Amino acid sequence: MRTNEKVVLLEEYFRETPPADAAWALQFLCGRTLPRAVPTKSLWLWAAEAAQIPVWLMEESYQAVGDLAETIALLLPDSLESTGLSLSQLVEQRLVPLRSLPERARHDLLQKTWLELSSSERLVWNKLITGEFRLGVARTLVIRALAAVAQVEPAIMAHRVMGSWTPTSADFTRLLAPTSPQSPEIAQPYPFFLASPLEIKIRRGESLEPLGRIQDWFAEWKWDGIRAQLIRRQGESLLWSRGDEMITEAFPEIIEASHVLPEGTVLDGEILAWQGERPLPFSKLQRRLGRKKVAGKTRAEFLIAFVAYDLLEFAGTDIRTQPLEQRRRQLEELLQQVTGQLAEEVTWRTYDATETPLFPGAAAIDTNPCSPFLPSRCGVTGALQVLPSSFETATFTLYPSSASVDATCQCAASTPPPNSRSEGTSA
Amino acid sequence: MGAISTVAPRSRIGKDTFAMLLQNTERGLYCPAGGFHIDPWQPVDLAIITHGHSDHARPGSRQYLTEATGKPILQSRLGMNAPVETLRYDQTVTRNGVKISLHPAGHILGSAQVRLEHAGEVCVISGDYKLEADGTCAPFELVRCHTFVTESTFGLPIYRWRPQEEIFRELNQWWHANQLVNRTSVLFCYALGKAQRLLAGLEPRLGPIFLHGAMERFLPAYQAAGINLPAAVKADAQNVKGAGGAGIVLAPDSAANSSWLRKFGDVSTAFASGWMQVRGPRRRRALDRGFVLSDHADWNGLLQTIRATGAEKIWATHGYTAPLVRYLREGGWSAETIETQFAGELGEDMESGGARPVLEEPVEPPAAES
Repeated sequence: MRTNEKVVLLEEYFRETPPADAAWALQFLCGRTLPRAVPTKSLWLWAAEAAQIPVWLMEESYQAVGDLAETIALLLPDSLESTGLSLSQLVEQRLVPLRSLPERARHDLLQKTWLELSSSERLVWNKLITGEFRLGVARTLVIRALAAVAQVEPAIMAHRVMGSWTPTSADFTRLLAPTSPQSPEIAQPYPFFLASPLEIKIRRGESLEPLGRIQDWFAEWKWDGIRAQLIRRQGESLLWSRGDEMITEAFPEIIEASHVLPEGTVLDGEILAWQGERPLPFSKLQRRLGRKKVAGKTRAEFLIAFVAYDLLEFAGTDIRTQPLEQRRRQLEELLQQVTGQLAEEVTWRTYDATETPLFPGAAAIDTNPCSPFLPSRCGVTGALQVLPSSFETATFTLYPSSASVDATCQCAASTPPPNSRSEGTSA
Repeated sequence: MGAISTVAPRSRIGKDTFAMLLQNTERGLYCPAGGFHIDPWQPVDLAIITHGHSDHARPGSRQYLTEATGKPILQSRLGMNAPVETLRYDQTVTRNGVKISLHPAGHILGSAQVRLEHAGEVCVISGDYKLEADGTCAPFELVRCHTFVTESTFGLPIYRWRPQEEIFRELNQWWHANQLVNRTSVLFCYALGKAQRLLAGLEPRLGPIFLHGAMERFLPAYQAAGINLPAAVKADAQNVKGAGGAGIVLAPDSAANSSWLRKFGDVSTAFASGWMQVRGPRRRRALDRGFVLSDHADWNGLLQTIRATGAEKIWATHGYTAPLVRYLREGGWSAETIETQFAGELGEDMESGGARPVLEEPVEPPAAES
């Protein structure tokens, strides 16, 4: 199913379903399932009993299906009549009691419930009682649908959903409330400024003259990490990845460390797994994504670095229209102030390509102080071969420091940083 | 199921009679008394063919015998000059003292159960069968017997079919919903049998029906048998796109992800097969929809048929034989798995939806008697 169709279906569901049921649906869509309500062994025996087949035949069936909840749903006899249990009734009157009932009563309640559900309902029910309910819908889509229903920005909805709420009618209604002008939402990130190739086509060996002077460019490594915005507002910290995804819970180290940032700060940067002086491959980091909780063991595996490359908001003011050079200076000052107070496992740093012998003349880069942060892409074709053919391995981003060059470009370069990648834009 | 013929009690039949009637050999099922094979997978002198699917009808034999309406199918598979003799349903011939008759199996056009009788012993080889009548072939007919050789493609209780009317209603609803967003419907299915059954179940008033070339090939056999199917034309980029998303295209599974398919622009894909009962095969194919429609008996259908034949001895072949055999044994039947050999390739029109089980039981030489 197409992504937009999923969102439309979710929207319809959230709009038309009574809040008491929609609240539970949202709870489960967010992956907040209840713990297993029936021990697996009992489930096997009772399902075989309901299906009137020997347990070995249920095992054979399970081998063919590969999923216990689905196997049981397929094996149970057709339901007699649907009693039309709503989701909230199913959860509150069946699922929750099921866990605390004594064995015999639990057996009876489960058998009764199975008989009252249709085949597709049983699959969901079985997933709920085994605590394994998952739906192939990304949380960002759920949030997008909720945002559309509530007519608020997805970022605001993501922040609300991340906050504390219980699966009740009242809380769900509160989640869908319109934005109130009295309390501006603190969650909103800025649009990400993405690097894209330059419109000027320069083939290998051709003159670089159209680019102007190298001194008019500001060079920066392109990291193979997670592009992110770190927001510190009203005593709260939020982490956004590109594409409207809130990843606050996946990187508790950054959130903890961010408490030293002054109010009204938004950093643009890259999250990297870090070891010693080197970033680790992106795959290490990837395992963190989608986590709701990060255990101490996972945290101990490697350090997390937030490599800040831009300051978008300072002292509560949007400074994106200020020249890059100025923002950069403010960023460095800010980070110098807080570095002493950082938790040990987090590395704050800026990383300027001019610190490395990137290419001849790089150290002499003279940033012309008039390049605003451009919240749009600069569309273009073809990779730009700026350097001699032997230098083809790494990618970095050049920001135009001159107002006359209204674009960024990606070029091949020598001596790549340890995990920079060879093409594409950052994650 | 209308039961036909009666059979003598087993006690009156001689001990070695069954061994003379049917044996499983390395070429397939063989009748020693009659001197012929049933659905052999290697060339033999005389092959009785239950139906034209490629795992049942193999080339190279000197003589074939099949049901009359299945002859064009067999010839389109084996060549127009293949030596195919025919029998009509319920017609009986005798060969070396063995009475041979064919009875509708309800699987595809011309599909037949083979009834063999010799010295009072009756054996029925089901081939593939389906109990629900669908209008594109003669409906299944129950034949009582001492020994029943049954298929067991869907020999697990997870496979239970809903009435085809419900499936066709959902299928037509899916087609219609796609039309509303100008998206061509592409329905994957097996080219022989399922495609024609689907054609018969589609609502032709909804829009134009297009066929992949592989489906067209078998249409003349259905026309010759007087089966009424809605008009359908061979699909190409012009006519399908020209229909502006209103059309439905029937195509074999092998056309999925092909350049042929990409010519049609925006499509919604579905697969019609019994294997769609389980979500795994549905998801592995990355389909928009899976319609559970099978031309085989489901678990209850297998058990119902086995009981109704009155057979004491069951040989299970094709698919999930092991669970069926164990279940039957626990129910007091004498039951065994009969190993089927596929000659390397799976037929294009077989129901091999990715979930085809490995036959785990070793090849057992069938007992000469039970």
